[in-house]
Amino acid sequence: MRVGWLTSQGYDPFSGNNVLTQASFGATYALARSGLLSLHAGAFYDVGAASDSVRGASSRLRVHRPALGLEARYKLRPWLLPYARVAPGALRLDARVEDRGGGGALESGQWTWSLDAAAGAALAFPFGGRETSRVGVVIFAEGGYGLAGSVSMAMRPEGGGEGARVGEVSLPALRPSGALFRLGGGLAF
Amino acid sequence: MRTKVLLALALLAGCGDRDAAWDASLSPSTRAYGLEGSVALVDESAGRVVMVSAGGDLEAKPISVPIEGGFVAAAASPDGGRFFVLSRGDVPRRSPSDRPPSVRVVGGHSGDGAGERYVLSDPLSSLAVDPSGRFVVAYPSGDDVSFVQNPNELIVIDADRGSAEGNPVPVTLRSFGGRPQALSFTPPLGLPGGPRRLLVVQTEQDLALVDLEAPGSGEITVRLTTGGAKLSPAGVAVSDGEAGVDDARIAVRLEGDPNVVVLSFEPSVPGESKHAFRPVPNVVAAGGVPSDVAFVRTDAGERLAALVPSRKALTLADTTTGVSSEIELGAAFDRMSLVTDELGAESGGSGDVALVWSTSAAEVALVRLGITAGTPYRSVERLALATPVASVRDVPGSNRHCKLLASADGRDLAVLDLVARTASPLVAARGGTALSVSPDGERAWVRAAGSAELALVDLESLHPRNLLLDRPIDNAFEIARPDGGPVLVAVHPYGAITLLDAREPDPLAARHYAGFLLGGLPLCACCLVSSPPRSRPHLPWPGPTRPKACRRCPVRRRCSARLPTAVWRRRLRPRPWRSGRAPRPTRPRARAIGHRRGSASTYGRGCVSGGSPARATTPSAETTC
Repeated sequence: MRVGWLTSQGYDPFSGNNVLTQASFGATYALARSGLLSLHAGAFYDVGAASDSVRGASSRLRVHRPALGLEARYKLRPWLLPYARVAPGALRLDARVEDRGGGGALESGQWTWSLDAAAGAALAFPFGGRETSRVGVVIFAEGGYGLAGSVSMAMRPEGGGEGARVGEVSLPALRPSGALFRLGGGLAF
Repeated sequence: MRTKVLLALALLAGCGDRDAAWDASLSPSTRAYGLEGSVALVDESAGRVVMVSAGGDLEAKPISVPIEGGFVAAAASPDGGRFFVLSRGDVPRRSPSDRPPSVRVVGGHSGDGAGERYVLSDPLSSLAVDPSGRFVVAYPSGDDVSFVQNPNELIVIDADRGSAEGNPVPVTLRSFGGRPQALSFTPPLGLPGGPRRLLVVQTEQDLALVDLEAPGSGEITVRLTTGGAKLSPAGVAVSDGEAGVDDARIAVRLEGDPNVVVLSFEPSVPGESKHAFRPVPNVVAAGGVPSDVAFVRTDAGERLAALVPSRKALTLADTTTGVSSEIELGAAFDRMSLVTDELGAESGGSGDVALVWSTSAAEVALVRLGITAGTPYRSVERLALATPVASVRDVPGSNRHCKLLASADGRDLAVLDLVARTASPLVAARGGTALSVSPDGERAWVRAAGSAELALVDLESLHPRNLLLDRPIDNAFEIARPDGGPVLVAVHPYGAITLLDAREPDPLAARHYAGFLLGGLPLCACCLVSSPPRSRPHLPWPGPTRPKACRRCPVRRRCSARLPTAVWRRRLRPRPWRSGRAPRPTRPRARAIGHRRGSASTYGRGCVSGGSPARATTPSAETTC
């Protein structure tokens, strides 16, 4: 689970607070090892949504963040693995605000870049309690900062207005940068 | 330790507040006012007025103007050049940052910025606007909630002058038991002491005159009731008299009374009055209870014309001698409008031509007053209609010889051609229609309440063109585009708008903005310039939307409400110049004014500034940050 702290004004129409919670998925593969240090490549995908109401109309923001990353781990103890990671990626923001006057909705869907930098620690629990076991359970916690490009939240009626010319309504630009905290578990093999 | 844990939990829970504007629910119906080059949408719950102008490709260009405190009333000047917003302020005021009640004057184009702000000492609830747009009067009504109020106090604001000492001016009417009911602004009148404009205030039983050139000199009350039955003024008519002669007159029609009070003006006795003139009342008999009065030119000189429905006649009275004559109209006409200027050379003679109509009889008549003497029977031309007329609308421009007539239910409309003496009917399929005329007088727009239907009527050919928009239309205004070409702005429920080319309206080519009032929020303190360039030409105008200063705006990314007051104060404080240096050049200084004086409003916690530019550069500027 990834919890982001977004202070951008553009996030306000979609949430009454600054928190964006996302489900986080990822996999890493060891590229190289040198003593206690190892370098891993990984692929990550975060997906989440925030919803609230804006001026009496329901609003929703969906955020998808696919990313590739490099992670350096240090085997401080057999069961304790501090690590640091950078993960550049793409960010997809799908916003939707109910149109109270017309029964439809205003939508906006845009891509921007993202770059996560995080550090944390993993606790490894090998199956069977044997240190030689290559398979085990890992739980981890990390914190860091996610950088992202700014997105102008130009909202248009869904379906593009069915042939008619429609104008855009600009909500405040959203820059989904901010502190992040991730907590999770997984399998190591 | 416990506090730290609680703080951490609060952070995790996400305790960051968002701007209150996002929680301000949109109203289904939006108050809208048509101006010269923009439409003003009052977004009451978000504390702003959105001025919408149109770009070349029917693109809406909005600018938000803050309303300081609660919205009370708004009015546009008849020429659309100015827009006035009366706000209640923060009531009760508990801190210096709470905003006082005020009247904000905004230009008729969205590029005119946030305009000038005039602070009032107490919240008032009514506005009266001068037809020329120069003066505006705020006055109390029964809706006011002040603990103690003076119902006879008027606040006169001269919008041509900035907010300064002596503007606004409070004027208290001497009361003999009445309170203001209706306010009328006269054109410049030739009075002893020079030409002046007057504010005529009707109370339940008196009439008060306020000299608009010197409102501080007090009012002149003309008592209409001096014992016996109470006489209530029901309407006024004004005449400047002959050119170059100080013979202005004001006629006062009385409720249910056959007499008309005519005020002429004489020089006042020196030392007795602050005014150079004094009104002299005279009573003229109309021969019956008049429903409308006007001063008219006849071949025998100026007369007071009084429509008397009970006698089906128009009485012409000489206000000097009191002698009157009567023109039989043949029907109970109860409303009158002079159309001499509209007819031009067709008016044919030295006298005026009056259009009279009736709210009970289905006809109108043109009364030629220049050939009245001796041949009264030839001076009236009657024209039959399908239904009685409830309202008559003037047409400006090239079709000014036309009048638009509407019945009470709005189903029957007619275009009256004063020259051809024809009344061409237009029939609407449903009632409750609203009629508006384009500023150039070439078109009329017809719409029905709650309907998405709209019709354009070409006033040359009288060809109606029916249009169907996507949503019900609450209001429609035709405005001018900066690059030429008129645009129709249709306002829909929940603040949606549609922009159409007014000359060639095509719903497929129209541009529709759903949820338009969701945009432009929250208000940024520095994104507005409070000084319109026309009234303050010495200030550089940075552009129609955002001033350059906004790029450096410290609150551009986050709402000013998040900034502590001390930070605001520090950021908005004028920079002192080091001694021994040359004074700062004019242009940068003016730009600094524009930046700092940006009319800030961040829903109760931001910075509000105002005052004249000279005051704004000094520590005594009215800046309540």
